Amino acid sequence: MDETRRNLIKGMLTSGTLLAFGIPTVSQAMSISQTLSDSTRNCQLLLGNTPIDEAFARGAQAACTSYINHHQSVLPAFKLEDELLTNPLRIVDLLTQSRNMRWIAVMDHASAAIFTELVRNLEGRLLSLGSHSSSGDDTSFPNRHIWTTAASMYSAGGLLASLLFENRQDFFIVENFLEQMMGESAIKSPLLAGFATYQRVAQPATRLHCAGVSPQEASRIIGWKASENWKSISFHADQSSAYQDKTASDAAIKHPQFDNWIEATGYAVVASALGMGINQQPCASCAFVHRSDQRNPDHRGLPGKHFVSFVIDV
Amino acid sequence: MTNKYIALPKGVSAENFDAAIRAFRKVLGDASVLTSAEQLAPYIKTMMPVPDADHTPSAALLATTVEQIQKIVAICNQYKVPVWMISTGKNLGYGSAAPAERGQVVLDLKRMNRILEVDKDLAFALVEPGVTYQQLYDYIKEHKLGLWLSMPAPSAIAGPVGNTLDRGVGYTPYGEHFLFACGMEVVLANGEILRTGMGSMPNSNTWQVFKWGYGPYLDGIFTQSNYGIVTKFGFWLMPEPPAFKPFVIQYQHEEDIVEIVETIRPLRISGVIPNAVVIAHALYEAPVKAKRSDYVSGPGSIPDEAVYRIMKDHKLGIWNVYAALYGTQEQIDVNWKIVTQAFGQSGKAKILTEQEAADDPAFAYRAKLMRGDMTLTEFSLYNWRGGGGSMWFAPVSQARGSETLKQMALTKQILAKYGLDYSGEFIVGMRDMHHIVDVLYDKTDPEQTKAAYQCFDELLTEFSARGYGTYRVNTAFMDKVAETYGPVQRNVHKTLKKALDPNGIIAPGKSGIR
Repeated sequence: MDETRRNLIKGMLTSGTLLAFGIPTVSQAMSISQTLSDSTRNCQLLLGNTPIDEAFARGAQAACTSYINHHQSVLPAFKLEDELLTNPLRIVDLLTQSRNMRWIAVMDHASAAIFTELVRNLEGRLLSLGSHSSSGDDTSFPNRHIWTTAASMYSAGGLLASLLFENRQDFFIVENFLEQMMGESAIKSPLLAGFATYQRVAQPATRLHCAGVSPQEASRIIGWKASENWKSISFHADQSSAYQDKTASDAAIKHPQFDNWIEATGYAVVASALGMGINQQPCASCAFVHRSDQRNPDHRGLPGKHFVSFVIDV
Repeated sequence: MTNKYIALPKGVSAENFDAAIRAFRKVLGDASVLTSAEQLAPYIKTMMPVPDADHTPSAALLATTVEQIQKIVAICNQYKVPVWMISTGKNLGYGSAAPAERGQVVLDLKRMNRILEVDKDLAFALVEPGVTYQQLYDYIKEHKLGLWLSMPAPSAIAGPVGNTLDRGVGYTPYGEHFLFACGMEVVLANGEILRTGMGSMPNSNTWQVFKWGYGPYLDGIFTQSNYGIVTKFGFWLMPEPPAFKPFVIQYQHEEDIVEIVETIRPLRISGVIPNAVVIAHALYEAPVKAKRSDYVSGPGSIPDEAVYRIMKDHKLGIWNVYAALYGTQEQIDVNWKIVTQAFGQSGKAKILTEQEAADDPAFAYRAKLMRGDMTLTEFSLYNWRGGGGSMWFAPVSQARGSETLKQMALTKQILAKYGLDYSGEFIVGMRDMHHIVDVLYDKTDPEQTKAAYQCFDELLTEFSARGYGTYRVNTAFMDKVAETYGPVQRNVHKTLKKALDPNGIIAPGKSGIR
C-alpha cells in the first residue's frame, strides 16, 4: 500500500467524528470487537457520511445494547469522512483489512451503487440489501422499505414492521429472498400482532401481512398484482419445535420503541445482523403493509429521505 | 426446505445443472464456483424498473485463464447452460453485472487482470478483461510512461475491455473508445481461439498497431454481441500532451443548444477542439451541488422555474459545454483564439477557464475526466431523486443544432408526462452526438417504478418512429431496441449467432440476439 492511501486510512480511522455518535475510535473498536462471542462474527457499523447517519447509528447502538444484555458486547463503528465517490480506494482498503467481519453499512444511493460493486470485487457475501425511503408525496406511500435478502434467517422486515407498527405511521416493507423454497412452507412462528397474514393462492411461498388494509389494496400499494387471490393463514404452535425454541428466545428480548423511523430501521438492521430478528418465516417474498387508522396520520419529517443499508460478510 | 440453487437456467433441469456445476468445479475449484445466495447477491442489484428476480443468476464462475474458459464453454455446450460474461461488471444503469435472463451463469472475468503490455513508444496497451482503469492508471504512473487513458464516468472501478466492448465513451480526444481498439483475442463457442486483425498471423508484432488485418474486419462483431468471449484486448493510448486547457461555456436558454452545436461542429470536425465535448443540461450537473428536495417536493417533474433557481444558486448554465484543448502551449494559444472568437460572436456565451472555475465541483470533475483522471463524482446523479432507479436512454443525434433541440424537447416532453426530470447531456463526436439521458426514479415507489418503465418504453417507441436509433440500452429493453433496427439486421445477427454458437450458450439475449 502506498503512503498516501495509508495516511488516508489512518486519517479516517482516527477521526474524532466517531465519538460524536458515541462510537469508539479504532483502537477502542478493535479491542471491543474482539470480545464478541465466537458464535457471532465480529460486527462493525459503517456510516457513509449521510444526513441520516446519526439517527441510524442511534438505532444501531440501541440494538447493540439489547444484544449486550444477552451476549456482553457493543457495536464498534467507522464513519467515512469523505464520500465514497471521491475515493473508493479507502473503502477497498478498509474492507480488505477486515476479513472475517460482518459489516452493517448505511449510505446514500450514489455511494451504494459503488459500494455494491466493491463488495462483489472483494468477493464479499451480501446478506441483505435494503432500500429505505420516505416522502410526503401524495402519490406515494409515505414510508417504504424494499429488501433483497439472501435467506430468511437474515430478514429484518418482521422486526422493523413490529417497531414501525407502534409508531402508527403508514409504511410498507417488501422482502425478496434469494434462497428458493421447495414447495409450500408452513408458518413456523407466531404472526405479528396487529397484522393479518395471507399467502398467494397461486404461489404459497409469497406472504402478505396486512394491517388496516385489505390484501388486494396492499398488493396494489406495493406494486404486486392487485388481482391476485390471497388465502388467510394462521399459526399452529405445534408445527416446529425448532422454531418454537427460537420464538422463546425472541420473546426474551424486549425490543425498544422508536419515534423516528430511521432509528427503528437502524435497530432492525443491526438486531437482525446480530441474530435477533423476529418473524423470519422461510418464504420467497413477503411484505408488511400498514395503513394507520388515524384520519390524518402525522408524517412530519418524512419527506425526502432515501438511504441504503447493507449487511455483508467479508 | 430450500432449493440447492437460487435459480436455474431456462430449460435446464436441476440434475443437469448439478452435473454442470460439478464439472465447473473440477475445472475451477470449489472456491471459484459461486452458488450460494450470499455469494450471488452482489451480482443481482440492477437499477432497472423490473423485478431483480428476472435477472437472477444461477451461479458465478471466476475464471483466471483462457484454458479454463475453453473448458467452461465445452461444459456449457454439453449441458446447454448459458453464460453471461462480465469483465468488471460496472455497467451501471445498463444492467450492472446481472445477466440478461434469469438463470444464466455469470462468467466473471475480474480475476483475469493482467496488464500484458504497455508500449510507451507506440502508445498502446494489451490487457485482460479484468484490468481496471485504476490499475492501468497506476501502472502508467508508476512506470512514468507519459500516456493518458480515456475513461467513462465509472472510471476507477470500471475497465477498458467491458466499456469498449459495450461501445462506451470517454471524454478525451480518444473518447470514442472503439475507434481506438486494436486487436482482440476471442474464445469462440466451440473452444477455438481467434485473434483478430494481425493477431491471426504467427509471430506478427503488429497486432496492436494495425487494426484491419486481411479480409473482413471482425472486431466489430464481438462488440455489443454474444459471438465469443474476449480474453485479450488491445487499444491505443494518448501521449500526454505538453499542455491542457479545460474550459466550460455556459448558456442560459434551452434553445441555445442550436447555437452551441452549430458553433462546435466545425471546431470538432476540423480538430480545433479534439476531445469528446459534453453539452450538459443544468439538471445533469446539479446533483454535484444541490439536492432536488431543496427545490421541489411532491409529484411531477421539476418545473423550469425551479431549474432556473438552481442555475442561479449554483452558477450553472442551462447548458454547460465542457471541452478542452490539448497540445503545446503555442497550439493551445492559437486554438483558444479560434474558440473564443467562435463562441463570442452572439454574446450569449459565458466562457470560464480553470482560472475562474477550478473550485467549482462540477467543473473539477469534468476537467478530471477530460484529462483521463479518476473520479466517480458523476454518480451524484443517483442522489438527485433518490430511491436507486436509473436507466440510461441513449439515442444518437446528428451534430446539427435543429436535431439536438428536437431530441431534447421530445425527451423532456415524454419524461414530464411520467413526472420525471430531464437529466441529459450530449457527447459530441465528429458528426454525431450521443444524447445521454439518465432516467432517474425512485425504485421504492411502485407507482414511479411503473411510470419509469412506461416512460422508457415510450421514449424508445417515439424516437425510433422518428428515425432516432438507440446506440446502447439496459438488459430489460434489448429486444425492443433490436426490433427498432428492422428484421433484416436481426436476421443477420441471428444467422451469425447460429453459425458461431449453435447451442446458444454465450450470453443469449445480449443486444436481442439469440
